[in-house]
Parts: sequence; structure tokens; C-alpha cells
Amino acid sequence: MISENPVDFLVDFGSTATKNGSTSVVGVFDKAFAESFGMIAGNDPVFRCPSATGIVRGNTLVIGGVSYTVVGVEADGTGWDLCRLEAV
Amino acid sequence: MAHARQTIREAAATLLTGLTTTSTRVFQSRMVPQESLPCLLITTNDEEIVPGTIGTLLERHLELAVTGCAKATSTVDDTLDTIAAEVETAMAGFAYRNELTRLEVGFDEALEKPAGRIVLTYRITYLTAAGSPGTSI
Repeated sequence: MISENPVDFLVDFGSTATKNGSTSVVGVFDKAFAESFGMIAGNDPVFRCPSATGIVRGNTLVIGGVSYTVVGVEADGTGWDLCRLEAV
Repeated sequence: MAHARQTIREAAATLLTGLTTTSTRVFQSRMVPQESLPCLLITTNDEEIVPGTIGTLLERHLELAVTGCAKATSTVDDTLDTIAAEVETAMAGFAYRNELTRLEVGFDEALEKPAGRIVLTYRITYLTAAGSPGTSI
């Protein structure tokens, strides 16, 4: 188990997102390969951030010029949330 | 020499290219990029072979799947049903004897843009001589 403050990792791996068009938030953006029905290739983007960031389902995030809707927020129990994103 | 299965699949792809909704996005493959939607995937799957009673003839029943895929918007059901209507209409003119046996619909949210699909399964019946799978009779 790591002993560092997880927030320190945002300095190296964090991306800045704009929440609801106005607020800058920092988290780790991951856009890994995914497939649908085993026949449509695409991505499954997620944004991991401290729960204190306050992202909730329905928020919009603009990351790298792409707009996403937060379709799910999964708290991992350690003070971090995994936000599942859907491209607008 | 191409197997008759390939010939049939290619004929279906040719016939189904240019439909209003899916246009030229017709693929004879099992994986397409999400940017290609809406599209059709055409695959030839399992085949039942019945030995004929005349000489070495084989009566073959091939499962041809035509899968329509579309992004899951609020009108995705309409889009998938329209794709099905266009495919069924076109397949009425298919050169091989065919029967529509099944229609399946599904939705999946695994991607950044959820997708829906509709699978039209056709039973294609054709004959070959044993040892000559490339020539349908």
C-alpha cells in the first residue's frame, strides 16, 4: 500500500478538466480501449479525482477540448471517485 | 478458389451497399471502429450440411448474419428498425434462396458513445457437389 498522499500523483499524472463550463478540476483521465458487442471498437473514458472535487452524475467535463457527460460516479472508499464519462 | 460461403457473403455485401441509412459503410468483418456507425456487418457463420440423395450433392444451410449498428441516441430504436426495414427489403432480391429466421436487438454502454445493434439472421440454402465447395449448383 502506498503511503504518499494520493493527491501528489495529480502533479505528475493529472489532467485539468472544466466542470460545468466554469470550474477547473484536476484528475487522472484515462481513455482505454473498449469494445461493444465484441464488434465495435472504441474507448471507455474515465476520470479519477478526489471525492472532494464534488463531481456528480450529470455534470459536464471538458477534457482536451472534448465534452463529456458524467454518467456515473463510483467512490472507491479511499476518498477518490471514478467518474464514468460519455462523449457528448 | 473461394468457398461458396465467401461468394454468398460478398454478394450480400454488394446487394446491401448503398442503403439509405448505412450507405457504403458495409463491412465483411467482425470488428469496426465506432466512427463507422451507423453501419452493417455481414458475417457467414455456422452451416448445417445434409447429404443429398442424388449423387454427391450436399444441401447446405448457411447462417448469414446482417448486423446493423448505430450510436445509442434517443432515436436509436427508430434507426435500428429503419436499418432492418431497409435490409429486409433489399434481401428480397437476393440471388440465393433465403429465409429470415431471427431478429435480435441489443444495447451496450461500454463505449464513450453507447451503441445499439440489430441482428438479422438469414438461413441461406444452396447446393454443392462434395469436394467442390466453391461451386454452388
